[in-house]
Amino acid sequence: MNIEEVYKDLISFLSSEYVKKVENRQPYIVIEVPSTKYLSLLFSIAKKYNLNIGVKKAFLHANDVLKPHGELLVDLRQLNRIVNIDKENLTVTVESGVKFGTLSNVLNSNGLQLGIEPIFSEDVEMGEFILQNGVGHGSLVNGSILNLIRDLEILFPDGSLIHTGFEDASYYATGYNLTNLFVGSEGSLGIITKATLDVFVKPEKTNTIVFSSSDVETIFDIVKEVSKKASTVFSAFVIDKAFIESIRTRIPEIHNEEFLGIVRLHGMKEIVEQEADSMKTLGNTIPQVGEKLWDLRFLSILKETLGEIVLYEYLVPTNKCCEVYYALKNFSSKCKVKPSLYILQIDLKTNLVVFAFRVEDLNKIDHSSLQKDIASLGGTLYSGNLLATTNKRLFSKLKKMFDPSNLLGPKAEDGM
Amino acid sequence: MDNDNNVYPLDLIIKTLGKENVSFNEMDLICYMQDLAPLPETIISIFSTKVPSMIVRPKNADQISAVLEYANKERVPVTPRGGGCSGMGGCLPIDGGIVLDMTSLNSIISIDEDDRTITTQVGVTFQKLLEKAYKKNLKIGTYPTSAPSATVGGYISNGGHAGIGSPKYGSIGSQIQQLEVVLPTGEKEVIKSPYSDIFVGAEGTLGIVTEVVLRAYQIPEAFSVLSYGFDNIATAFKGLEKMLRSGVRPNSLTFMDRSFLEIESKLGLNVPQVEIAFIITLEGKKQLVAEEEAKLNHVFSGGKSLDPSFALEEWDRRYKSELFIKRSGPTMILVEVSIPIVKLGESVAYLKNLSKKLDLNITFYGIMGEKGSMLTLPLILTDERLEENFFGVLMKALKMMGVVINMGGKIYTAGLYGSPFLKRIHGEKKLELMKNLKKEFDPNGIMNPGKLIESRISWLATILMTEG
Amino acid sequence: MQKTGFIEELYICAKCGYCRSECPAVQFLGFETYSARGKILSLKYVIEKALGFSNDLMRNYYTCSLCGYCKNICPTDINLTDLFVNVRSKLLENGLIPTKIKDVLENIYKYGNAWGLPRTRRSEWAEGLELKQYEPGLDFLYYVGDIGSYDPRAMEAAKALSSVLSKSGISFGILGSKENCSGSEAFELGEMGLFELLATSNIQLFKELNVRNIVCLSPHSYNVFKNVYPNFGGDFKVLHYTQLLERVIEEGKLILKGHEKRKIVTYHDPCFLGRWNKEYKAPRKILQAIPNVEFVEMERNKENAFCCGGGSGNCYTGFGGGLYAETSSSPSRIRVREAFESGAEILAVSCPSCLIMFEDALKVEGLEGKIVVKDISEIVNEVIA
Repeated sequence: MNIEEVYKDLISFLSSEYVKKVENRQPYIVIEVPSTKYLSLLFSIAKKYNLNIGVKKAFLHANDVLKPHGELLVDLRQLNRIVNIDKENLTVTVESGVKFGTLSNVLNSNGLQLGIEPIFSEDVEMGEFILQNGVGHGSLVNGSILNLIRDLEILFPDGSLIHTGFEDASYYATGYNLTNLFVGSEGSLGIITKATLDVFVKPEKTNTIVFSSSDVETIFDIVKEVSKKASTVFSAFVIDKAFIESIRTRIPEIHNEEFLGIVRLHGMKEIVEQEADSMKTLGNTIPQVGEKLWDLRFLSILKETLGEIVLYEYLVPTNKCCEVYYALKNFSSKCKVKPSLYILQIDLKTNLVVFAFRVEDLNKIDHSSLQKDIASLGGTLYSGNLLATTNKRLFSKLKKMFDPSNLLGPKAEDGM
Repeated sequence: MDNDNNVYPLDLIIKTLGKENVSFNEMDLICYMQDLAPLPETIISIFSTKVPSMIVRPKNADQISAVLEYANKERVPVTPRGGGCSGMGGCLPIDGGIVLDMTSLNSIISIDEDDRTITTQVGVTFQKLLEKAYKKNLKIGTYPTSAPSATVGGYISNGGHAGIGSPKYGSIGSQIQQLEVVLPTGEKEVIKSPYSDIFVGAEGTLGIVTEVVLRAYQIPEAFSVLSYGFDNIATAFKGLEKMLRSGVRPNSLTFMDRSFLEIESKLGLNVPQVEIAFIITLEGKKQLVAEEEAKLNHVFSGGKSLDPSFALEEWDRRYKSELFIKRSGPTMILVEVSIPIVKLGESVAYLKNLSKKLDLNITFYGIMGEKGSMLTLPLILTDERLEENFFGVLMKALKMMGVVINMGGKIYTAGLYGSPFLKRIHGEKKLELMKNLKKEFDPNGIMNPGKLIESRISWLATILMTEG
Repeated sequence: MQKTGFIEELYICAKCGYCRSECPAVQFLGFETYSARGKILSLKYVIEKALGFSNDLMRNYYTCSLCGYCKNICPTDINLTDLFVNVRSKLLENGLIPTKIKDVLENIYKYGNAWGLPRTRRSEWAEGLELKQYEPGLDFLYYVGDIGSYDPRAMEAAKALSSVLSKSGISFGILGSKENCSGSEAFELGEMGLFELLATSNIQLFKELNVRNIVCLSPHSYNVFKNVYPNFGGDFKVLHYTQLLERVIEEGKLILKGHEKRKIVTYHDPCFLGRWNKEYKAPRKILQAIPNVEFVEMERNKENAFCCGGGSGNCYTGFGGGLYAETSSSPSRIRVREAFESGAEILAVSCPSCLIMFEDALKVEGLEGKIVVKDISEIVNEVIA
């Protein structure tokens, strides 16, 4: 690929401040797209030079590192309008590049909130979250972001713009359920330009309980117990010492704890209060830090102690969480890597285990042996093109339909 | 009507399924050519130009795979059928060919109390599934009011958006963890959520769903049945809007209008005298139910609490309610539309007006779906034996559906009779995309032809959706 | 509910299919043609096309034990069992009747029983028991019925009941060889002419003998005596024997000592006692009054009980399927498997048809030795103090 030629072509219709060349590694050019119509032009260039397009994410995830896709990388941050907040229908329509933090603030000021919140950072773009079929805080109640999507506006490589649902946010009619084909496809079938999501009225009361323990089994047991017993649990997650290091300076009440288990309750006032009281008896708690900790819940805080980070996320059966934890710890000491572990409960049976480490340490990690270790414990890598890995036949049918020229990454043969 | 009975080679199918599971008998064919809709043969014959050649009763996905492989090769149309209790013609074999009676896939494979999942073949009725799950202290989140007849596969294939449990647990689609399907070309696939959703609401046109793993829920600690009555339709539905914003998520909510109640009364039931009655069930932890009850009393303060024995009676009769009044027809045309609750008041008022203009007697019944929608059934009681009159009534009913769609409402199931409206609802571009998707899955067009996205009667839509 | 002519009822049918999944005929043969919906659609087709009744239609309408499950669940409240009997009458009028059924009806007419066995042998079951011949002044007429009188297995129940009645101190008599068929099969098969003949002659006999109270072994006889005979001038009280025993146990006239070892017992509600006459309590009360009995319910019980397949004369003709329990989808075999799955060692019944249907099914299913079927009369007789 002749980078210079492509670059010249690109800056003929886009200001050079939006187009950046990257030396020596893929993706070679990063394009910040000012609006949807430029995306279509981009597609025709990609077709002309037979290039592959990926969508930029706020974080590096395992797959981005292992198989970087796309010679061109598209940054959708400028598609950042909050198009409409419909208080009657309880929906919000946003462009893909709207950051979660921004959206959350605007919704809050309207007495509303999203049903599922990303764990990575407030800078996660909504389009990115959807492309990964994101799970996060609230998944215990609402599953994955998929369940909260009413409509997606998708731009296809042939330039057509389709709504998978309805623009007026009215819910459903008969016909094929197209929305879910694009969720979790990592941009390989089409690029999401707009999304309409369900929103919820802010709960009457919230309460965050922080459990501490020096032992990983104990903390997992406590958190599991609480999510089984309490009906108002919005989120339940466990953080390890490395994460605690990053937040300690801001929360003096936290000292040398090995593990913290955080449970966030939300719902009707009396019920939350009653459940908070009874759940606190299930383990050692640190009083008065709940709300402060909740504000610092994002993985992005690790950047302060670790610098630029890479995230490997695994879906692990709940009863294997401890073993996976130990496996990751062993692996890290073998590779001389200093990681942080963050474990989010998604449902009774499954947890999301996030293994965060410094970008610099990437080359110290033997990826395939790590995959094997985790897989032998029943864990699966979370991000990546889930459809391609779980149903090759279905994926190839859809790929043929929506992206016959293979412009969107990852490449069809990889299917990763 | 043509009967191509002699053309298709049969040995393979008979051998694979066993001859007692294959029928060419005329009386069997007659029974499998009908569904809930009260359409006389003269009308059905407009849509349906061929008689099916056989009915087959497969026991598992492998047998279905064999049938579809054969059908795909020989270009024989295949129409799946569950309980046959939808009135939209989705299971009518209009191009003849093979009718796949899915009710023989009736084994419940496992009910796991620890995992809280239920794995079952799709031919099991919801009533049966609920009974078995109950024994292990589990329940299905969402199920249709036709549970004694509706099969798991049928409800899933028709979308499963409204039913008992839908306001609280969502549509059946959101409770599916994975599906086993047989594609029209004969391959068996296991597809996990969310991609399994492409088959939810696909009405058997993309392949046959054979087995499903459903999420199950613990039987809640508390359960309560309430009923409210209103003297004014607008007040009733305004209360409903308030309920949406109050955070209360009822397990189920059905409504009936004065006309419905009057018919029930004529048929011998004890009913209140109100314009609109709501029957609501709540379930969950004891405290939650108590809190929700208190909130409902507040949001419905524009009406009054009705006699608990009426509420209990209607809940007991939840599978019978909307069908019972058919007795006073004896024909009942069921129009099903999905209307957002925030538009319900004005839509019902508009439809009542329209029905006066069209000289139709309509009776309203509704059941709340998910995401603030109400599956609304403007029911028309008439007599199909007065044939010329009946045809006119039928056209008016379909016209009413056209009007609702023009107003932004949506049809609930397309099947055969609703298929002409799809272009208006989705737009040409999206419909084109869906048709391409269909072609990708079913290149020879054998899978349930003439339904959903493929309409043989688009001329009907044009007629029905012009004002006047 | 409003009563309408049966053609009207055909149009009232909502075609919802609630009647399909639990219908014994559908579970036996698979195709939904045999469900109430299928029967109605077939008939409507024939009427609308002015086709006249056919053999296929006839086969459909006789493939039904009249269990009444469909009638119970029908949301438009159609009296489906009435409808089927009416259609059977019409089929008969048109000379359409399967040979096996024709033979059964002829036998009933000539010999007072479906097997065509001599009337003189009707009292053989009572030989050596020294039971009184019914005469005015006795409290109860113990009406045995055809199956109890002639079938070897069912005779055991007839005998057991006579013993229980005696030990309870009840004054009763039997008709012996004077007993005639109650007409329940004729009624269920739509042969109203024959039924009327039998009913009027029985009523005449009961009047002559001044019968005030009848206790029946079989729910089928109980059903017609109670619900149909009054239309022909029948004037007497009638109980199924479980109703009488319930009373007798409550009044302390019968003391039950129970088994030595704990026995797990389940009960099959016969259609003509349960769904048809709403009697679910009495048999259960009797079983639960026996010490050392652990009572368990089958999955489908009371109004949801699954028919043994023997009604409408099927236990003689096998027409509705499974007289000889030939396939594993025969209703009687399905039901004994269900009984076995409930964990019971004893399957209790209170109807002679159910008794003989299940006895055969057990053997074919290979459940001999794993579960036994006993009539409640036999169970009680074993544990009287």
